[in-house]
Amino acid sequence: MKSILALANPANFSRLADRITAPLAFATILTFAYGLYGALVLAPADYQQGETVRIMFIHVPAAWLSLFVYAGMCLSALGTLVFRHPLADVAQKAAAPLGAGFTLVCLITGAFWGRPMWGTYWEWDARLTSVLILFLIYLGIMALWRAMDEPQRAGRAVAILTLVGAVNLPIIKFSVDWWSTLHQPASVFRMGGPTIDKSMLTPLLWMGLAYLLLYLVLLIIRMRAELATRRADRLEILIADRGHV
Amino acid sequence: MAEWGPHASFILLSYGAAGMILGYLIASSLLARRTAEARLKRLEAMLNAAQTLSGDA
Repeated sequence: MKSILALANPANFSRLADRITAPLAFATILTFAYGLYGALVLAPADYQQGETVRIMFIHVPAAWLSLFVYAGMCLSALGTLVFRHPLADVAQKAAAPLGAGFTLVCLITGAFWGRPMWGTYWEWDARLTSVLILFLIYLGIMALWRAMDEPQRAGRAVAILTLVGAVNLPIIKFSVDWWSTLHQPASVFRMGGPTIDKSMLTPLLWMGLAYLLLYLVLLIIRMRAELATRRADRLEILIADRGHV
Repeated sequence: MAEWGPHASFILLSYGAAGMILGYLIASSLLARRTAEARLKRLEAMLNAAQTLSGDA
């Protein structure tokens, strides 16, 4: 808890970010390299899906991240509304485009997997539709940030929208259990453990770790950019007030 | 590619699309930081220069 409070200071955060960004980026590259080698070379073809199963190694981690990023944004929203943490809305603003990107990867790779496996790129099935709604919520959040000039006001409005949108997360997760869907049920994060074979589970988890590390690196970079932008905005006002501009 | 069977094009398209989107996220993040920090530096230099001129510093 103390370390989280210490990070509430943007200067402390920036110092920590300076120290960890490069090692984290290096770890991301290595993890992606090993994950892709596992996905494209080591993993065997599936007995039903054949080689098309290789799409799963980039599709499933993108789906995980699309939910993980949104869950993180919900925590940031609480940080903004309840604790007024000075970095919470910065983190939320930085995370939204990344969450949208991972969700888009999930939707597109899912479509390319669906065409040969289901015979269609798209089906208005509960899982696919709820993920599409998640993507639209991300876009709505990004649009709301752009629509308001004052960061604190925008942060509170976005936090409320984010928390309202959180109702979609359990719908996405349990849509395959609640409704009869074309999409297959969970095979990794489920009660009773994964049903997927270890030869495919291992590269899948490596790819999941690679996506997670990439997200953390990009989140830090975007948070630094946002902090610099806000400081520059304040300086611009100060200079204008003093009549220097 | 040949050993990926009849659906190799779908596999390649998937990896290509994912690479493009993730590449865009990386490039846009780096560009956003670079642009923001360059603007901040420019404004800090402007403020410092103005303070020196007016004797505020």
